[in-house]
Amino acid sequence: MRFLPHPSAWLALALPLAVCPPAGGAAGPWVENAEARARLIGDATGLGLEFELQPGWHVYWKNSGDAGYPPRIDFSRTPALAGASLLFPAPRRYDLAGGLVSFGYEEHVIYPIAPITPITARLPTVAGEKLPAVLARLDYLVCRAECIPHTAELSLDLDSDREGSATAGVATAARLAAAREALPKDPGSVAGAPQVSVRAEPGPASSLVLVLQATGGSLRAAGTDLFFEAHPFFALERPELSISDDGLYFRVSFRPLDETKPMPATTIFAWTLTGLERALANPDSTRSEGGDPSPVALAGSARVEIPHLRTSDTRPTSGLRPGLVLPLLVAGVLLALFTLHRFRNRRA
Amino acid sequence: MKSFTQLAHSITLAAVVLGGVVLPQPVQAVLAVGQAAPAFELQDLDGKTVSLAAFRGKTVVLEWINPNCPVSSDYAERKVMTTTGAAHREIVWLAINSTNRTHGDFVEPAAHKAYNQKNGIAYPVLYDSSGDTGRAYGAKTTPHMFVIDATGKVVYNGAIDSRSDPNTNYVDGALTALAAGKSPDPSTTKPVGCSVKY
Repeated sequence: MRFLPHPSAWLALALPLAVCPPAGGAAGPWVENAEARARLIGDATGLGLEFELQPGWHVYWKNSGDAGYPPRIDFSRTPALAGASLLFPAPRRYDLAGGLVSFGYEEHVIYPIAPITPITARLPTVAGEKLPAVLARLDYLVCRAECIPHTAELSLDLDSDREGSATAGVATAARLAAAREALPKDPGSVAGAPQVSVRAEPGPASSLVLVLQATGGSLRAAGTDLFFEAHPFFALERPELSISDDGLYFRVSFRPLDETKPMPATTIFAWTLTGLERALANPDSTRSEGGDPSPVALAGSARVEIPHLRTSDTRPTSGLRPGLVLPLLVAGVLLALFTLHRFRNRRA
Repeated sequence: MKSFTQLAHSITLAAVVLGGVVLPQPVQAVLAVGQAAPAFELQDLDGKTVSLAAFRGKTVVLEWINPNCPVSSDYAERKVMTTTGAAHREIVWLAINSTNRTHGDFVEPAAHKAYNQKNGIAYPVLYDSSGDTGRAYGAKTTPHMFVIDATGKVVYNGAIDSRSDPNTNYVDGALTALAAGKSPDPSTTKPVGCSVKY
């Protein structure tokens, strides 16, 4: 008898079962506008922010690139979720006029919300009562050629299975799990991931170049791309990729944002490598049975030593601007013709 | 002989012009704080030429503007730019519109004047329809802000404010620091808004 738990302990064990969200997950009502719609989704293990976008429109990654800004979510009306924040899936690149670039998502995206913990452990519940509703204020920018800022008051009743059982035939909980699974991962936690190393070196014309190499492993590149989080000291240009037998090599020129400040001796660059996939033949792959190889994105941060350059070395160089190459070439040919012409005249 | 030289010069000049058109410069990755502010001569909404060089000796704020960008117009409607400028009397505030004339966001002078009047914008708005000045500054968003000190150097490059609660107005902070003989801190932030429609 004395080994039996106290009756209240039994109650505590039973409670999470009583107030657990439905197994299929739950979805809040969509908040719509002409460009996009957004809602909160959740299951027993946590929450997500889901967007569906009209064709051509996109929302943003944590580094939005040259324009835009990432969605911001505020749970202050649900104090138990204070500090919860968005996690960002692998982004894609959008080229804009003038060589500007944005990083984000189109069509459909689920931002899982961190921390991923059982929601019943975070929301105060009373025995026999429903889970309280989750309320959030969302602030986001949606862009095509033009950009529209929106705010939305989102809510989610975790006891409801409204649309939870199936959207496009897939249960909310399964879609949320897939979104978590697809988040960029530390290479050390991914079977077959390449070794990723990052270093900085002096580039041509006294510039600085970040070199990220991903070698070894069994993943293959399929439209691979490299993204960096915004850096407090440096502006990073577009990565240039070269693929060799032993792996991927990205070279990224970077320059200080403020030349009046001393350059840090070392600094951290946070990178995300997208567009890798498991080869179908790879026996390690657990998802290859379905036919499509599963996309893999890796992420990490690397402390990098900054090569010593004199401050003046990092100013724009007097090297040839691409726009001047053609005119100078024409001028050179004309000068040669002119010299030849004069030389012939003299001989005559 | 002379005509050949003239022809050569003409062709070279044409090639330079053509080269500039056919191969436009990409937007500079960053105009770093500490660099000289690129010179410009641009026309305002009345066609009057405004030169940056004319303001040497004064602090100049440059605001990249686009009335058809909701982020830019939101700041205008909330009078963020005008009140920030009004709080610092000795400075020069110039807005630059680098929207390409062929882009749907381009605003003709009469409509731009009406927009300015509606939002209490009394400072000059300059057209940079070629985008050359925007590219030279690495202007990426509307708004994108630059503060240039009395010696013609860039001392702040970034957003107008933090868009957060509580909000920090970075340009106001930079102008206050300059007036006190200090360097702006932060001197760089990430500009936030619609992309410039080059």
